[in-house]
Amino acid sequence: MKRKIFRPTIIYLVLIVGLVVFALPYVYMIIAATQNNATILGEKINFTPGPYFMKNLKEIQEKYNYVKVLWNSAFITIVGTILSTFITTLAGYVMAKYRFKGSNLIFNLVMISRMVPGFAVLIPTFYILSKVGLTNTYAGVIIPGLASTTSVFMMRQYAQKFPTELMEAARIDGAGEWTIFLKIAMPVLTPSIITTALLTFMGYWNSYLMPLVILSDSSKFTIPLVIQNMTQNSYDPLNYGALMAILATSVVPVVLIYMWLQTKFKSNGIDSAIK
Amino acid sequence: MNKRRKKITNFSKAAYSMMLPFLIFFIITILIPTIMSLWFSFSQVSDSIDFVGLSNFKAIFKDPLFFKSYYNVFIFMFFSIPITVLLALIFAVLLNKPTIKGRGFFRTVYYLPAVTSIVAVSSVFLTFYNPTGLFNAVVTAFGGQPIPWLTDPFWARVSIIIISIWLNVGYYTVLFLAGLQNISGEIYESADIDGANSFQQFFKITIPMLKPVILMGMILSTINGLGAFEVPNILFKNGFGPESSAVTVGVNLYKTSFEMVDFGKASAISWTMVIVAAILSVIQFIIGGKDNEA
Repeated sequence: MKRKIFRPTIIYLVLIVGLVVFALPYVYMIIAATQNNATILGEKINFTPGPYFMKNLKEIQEKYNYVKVLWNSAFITIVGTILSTFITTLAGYVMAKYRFKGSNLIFNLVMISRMVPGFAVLIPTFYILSKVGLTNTYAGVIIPGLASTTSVFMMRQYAQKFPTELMEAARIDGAGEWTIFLKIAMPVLTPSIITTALLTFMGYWNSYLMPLVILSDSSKFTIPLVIQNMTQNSYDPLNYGALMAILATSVVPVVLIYMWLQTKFKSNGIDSAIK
Repeated sequence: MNKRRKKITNFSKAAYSMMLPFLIFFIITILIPTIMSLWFSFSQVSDSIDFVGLSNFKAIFKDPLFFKSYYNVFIFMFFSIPITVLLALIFAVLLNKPTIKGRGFFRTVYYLPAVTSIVAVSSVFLTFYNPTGLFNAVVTAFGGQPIPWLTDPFWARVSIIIISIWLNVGYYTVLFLAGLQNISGEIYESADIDGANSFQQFFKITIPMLKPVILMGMILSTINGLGAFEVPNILFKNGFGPESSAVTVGVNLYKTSFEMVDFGKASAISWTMVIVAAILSVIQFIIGGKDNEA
């Protein structure tokens, strides 16, 4: 009997310790964004909000033109996510629902290419982009991420559950294949499409290496590039409060939106990836 | 019969046209670069691309930094992967219990690091690791000596390992949870009847049943770990760390390709990564397979 009362307590204790460990950096971003270096680097642990939030925001706006940086990140992310989700949804759907000459070859190539490390692909991609004049452009950051093999694989898994009978019924009614996709498959697959789009969105928003090598003009910089500039800057001392103000306004809102949509659609793609 | 044939070709035409947008970008941004990368690794790349045989590979095998970067990455993986997998297994098993309230909430919060910018995470930890930052405040509050997190080669590696565990545990928890949900409850029920306790069930049922998923997770970690670049590059100026203790293959690749602008040599390094990842995957498969038979 004693064992039964004891065990759930231990389980919750372990889970709550995990919760604190994983949530702490996010909470810390918000609190430290309102503090100055004297408090953040003080001898004592201080989790009380300070009065410096607006001052920190003003500093990142003046030094890095933060509003423009947010716009750059938003533009690249939104355009990239819409284009990538559309083409990978189409491809995943075709791979799940059609057999044609070369369909196996395409599937195998996509799967094999997932084994090649990103860096191997990045170097020639950069070479090609610089030859066609796309370095230092938004397009140069967006294009290399469009053909996401992860998204195709996920959409293929989801589309396999889409009933073929619906397609056959629509064909009897005289619907073309594109109409079937746009009018029947897309609405049915919407939750899956949003799940895939969400991961693509986070991928573009968090992307670091691609903008780092493609963008050289600081007026086009995205959020991760500004963060790296702050931490690697050896000219003036790092204002940790200002750094945290960037994180509190660029990481926390996106993470909250993710949490909200995630609970709404209840799947994160991993479940389908291993089944 | 004839009509049916015609219908199939019509479908194929539509299928090709739907596949086309993806295919174009796949070929331009993945397939061609992959082939070019192999070609680069045997070439001197400047305005022209000149075949130089094996000289890029000879050059990297003479470079001490090349071996140092692999050595560092293996140390990181040797400590971070087992700890990550163990913690994720514990969380997954606990979250798989139907009686626990708020499972979805725990699961979502644990998973957040997987969708958070690694650059952002690294910069928060950079703040924690400051000589008078949060971690040392905690250490001294318990009466310990301040730890030289980022300035001592040993602690620099510990710092990186801590971040990579924090980043990955949630992802593997969700991965293992999905695997656990595939194990039928009947197995545990009959184990209960046979009198097996929780620990026996964990080692005799859960781990063997999850082995394919665990293996997949470890292979993924290996491939990602080799290319790791963000964490050392944010924690340390130039990504090297004290006595080059933080240099990963990814950092070395970035320096070689975009600072020394030696695309040939960099491509050669990236293909050693493909080979090492393949060898490690095979080894993990063999070890995993053997245990399964025993």
